[in-house]
Amino acid sequence: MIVFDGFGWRFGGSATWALRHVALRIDRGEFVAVAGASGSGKSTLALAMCGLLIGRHAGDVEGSASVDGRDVAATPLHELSESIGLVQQNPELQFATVTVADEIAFGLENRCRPADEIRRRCAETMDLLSISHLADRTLTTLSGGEQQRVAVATIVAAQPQAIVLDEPTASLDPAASRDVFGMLADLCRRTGLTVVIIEHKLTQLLSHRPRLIALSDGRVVHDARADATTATPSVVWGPSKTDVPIVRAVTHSGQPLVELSDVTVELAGKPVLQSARLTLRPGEVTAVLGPNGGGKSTLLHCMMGLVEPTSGRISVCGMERPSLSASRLARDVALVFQNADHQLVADSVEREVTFACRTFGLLDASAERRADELVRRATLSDRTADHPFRLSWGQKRRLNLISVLLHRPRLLLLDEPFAGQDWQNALFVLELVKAAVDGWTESSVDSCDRSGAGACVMVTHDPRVVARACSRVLFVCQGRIVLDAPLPDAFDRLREMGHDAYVPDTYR
Amino acid sequence: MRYSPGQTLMHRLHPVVKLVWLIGLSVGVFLLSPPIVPALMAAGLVALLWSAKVPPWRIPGLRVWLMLVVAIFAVQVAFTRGGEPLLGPVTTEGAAAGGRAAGRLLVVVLASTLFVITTEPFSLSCALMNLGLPYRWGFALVTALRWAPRFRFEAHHVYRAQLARGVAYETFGPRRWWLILRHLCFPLLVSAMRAAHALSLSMEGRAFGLHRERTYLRQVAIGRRDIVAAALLAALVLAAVLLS
Repeated sequence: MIVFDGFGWRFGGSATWALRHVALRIDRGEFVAVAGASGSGKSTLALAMCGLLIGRHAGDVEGSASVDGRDVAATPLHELSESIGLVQQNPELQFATVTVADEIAFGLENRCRPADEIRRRCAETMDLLSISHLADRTLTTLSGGEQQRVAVATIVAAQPQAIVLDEPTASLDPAASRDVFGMLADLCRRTGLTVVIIEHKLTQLLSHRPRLIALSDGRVVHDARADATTATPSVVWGPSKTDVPIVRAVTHSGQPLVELSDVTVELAGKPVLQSARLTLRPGEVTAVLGPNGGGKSTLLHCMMGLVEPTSGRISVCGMERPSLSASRLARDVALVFQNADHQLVADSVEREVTFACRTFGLLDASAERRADELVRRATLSDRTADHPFRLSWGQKRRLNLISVLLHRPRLLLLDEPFAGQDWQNALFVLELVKAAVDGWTESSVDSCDRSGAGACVMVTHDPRVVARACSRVLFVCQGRIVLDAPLPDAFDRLREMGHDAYVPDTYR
Repeated sequence: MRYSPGQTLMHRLHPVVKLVWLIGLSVGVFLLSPPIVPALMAAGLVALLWSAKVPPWRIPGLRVWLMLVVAIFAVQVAFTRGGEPLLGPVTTEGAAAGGRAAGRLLVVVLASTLFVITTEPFSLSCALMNLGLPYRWGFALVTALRWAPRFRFEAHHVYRAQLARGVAYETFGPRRWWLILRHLCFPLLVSAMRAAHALSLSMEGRAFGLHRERTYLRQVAIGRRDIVAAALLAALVLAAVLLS
């Protein structure tokens, strides 16, 4: 079905090969997971097999790749798309119409199929993917999991032989991720469709026994049938990985860094956070779990002064409303957003790292030394003069983090820092969290508590990180903090509440 | 102001018929000079908006528009001379000119509001494509209409993200605008290009542009009420031409 024969690809202007000596044969009806660190060539492989690489990007090619007997380099895209389709990471960006039924019909309409046939195939596809009840819904009102199902349906409706998905669960909560993987495995089993999933998060995927292909530096380094009990290759963040640092600093008894009492936030008249109560003390590393759209990000934004509560009291690092403004709080509190592009403000990596210190008048020789050290640890030393937007996604995430930490804030708020990240990037994040929570060696910020210890609140969907790096869990659902418990008790409580997907395998 | 779903007569009217009415009213109110014309049109539009479940006090942005209407009236009254004096410096000519200008603005605003609130954007594009608009243009319109709210949301998100970096957007005056220009525009541009790239891959991967024509699942049919509405407009235009 999909054959790579000594395939290699080097992007124009790059000295290194993104893919090299790739020899793969994926047969009809196979369920395949492709894993590997950031920059290992996974997404390039997906583009190559869908005919979106050769001829569309400048670069050198070696060997050959074919799909359904057709050479991807010589076949027009519309012809190749009869055999294979790609679902990109963010489904919302791929939609061309407004409602679910229109979107599924889109490809068939472009192929000039008669309206009756389109109607029949749309109905069959929606039935197959259990989304018939969504037919008339507006796409923007769907949940992340529902959007992924619709994105898959838009490809499946054209009845191709294979479908490729690039990190389909990168921004989904564990319950929705489990649902999407189950749907794809079921689709493969029932229809004989070849399913290729590019993915970092393998824990849930492995239970469907995929063929696991691992890439490293553009080469295939592992290719075998896998399941949840199989040892995962070292290039992949697998369930057997145990080198996540245990952060869990001792909770200090000092002044709380954050106090929320009965905080309610409403947007357009609808409550997005209701009666939130929370006290965070130095030394705590708190994980915020919960389904997408439940109010997790709003909780972080409240602590950063970005969202005005409708009622209740908020105190962060000794500041209360109305003096609680984001740009003033930024000195003591660091918030890293989920989208790496949004927080970039300077025109070079070096200026990006020192931006906050310059803004707050804290840039001295010591800060410059620390900046060099952070840049080195983020392996960005050779990119300091580059524009931040020229970096890869993983590099930007590391840059985001070090640029909010240089001035040593006391409270670290991280919104899904591990989404779409490989384990090396995740380890880097956790090392810096540990440094912030332990208290920086020479504290330059002294406005909260004299102990110097900090605290971290992270919204995350990775139960393994929570198990090893956090001391406390908040579960936020439908705008309410429905669970606030220390670990490991929190996992027992989550299981009792029926939220198994948020509990790591080792605790089940 | 945005589309508000509903099943009223105005919602069910063919989008192109509504578009032609919007154009007809907007042009007509400028071509026809009797002061009664804008008054009648405005009254009719208010009634139609009410029938579409938008009573006058819930017309989006009404207060701002009314302030603008009053301001235009006042300017015309103050600067137009001629006719009989009415009150102080106000003349009959000035009052008539003010009434006309204010009425015209009000009609255009009410007609546009009625159109936007009762017309689903995708339905308008489909109707135009059904009637022969090249589908590439039709989808360009769909994309623009879909992305406008998306980028408003994105801009808001980037703004917040940068506030959290310590960019002092909370200041006022020219400095705030300079900061917005300097820090906000580039991430938004990058985001727009990323979105355009993802969408073009997705559309091309689903054979968009393969043929000169394409078929449509959604057919926006022209019904009896649409013919009546179009005929009514034609009759009004004819009457206006004959009377003037």
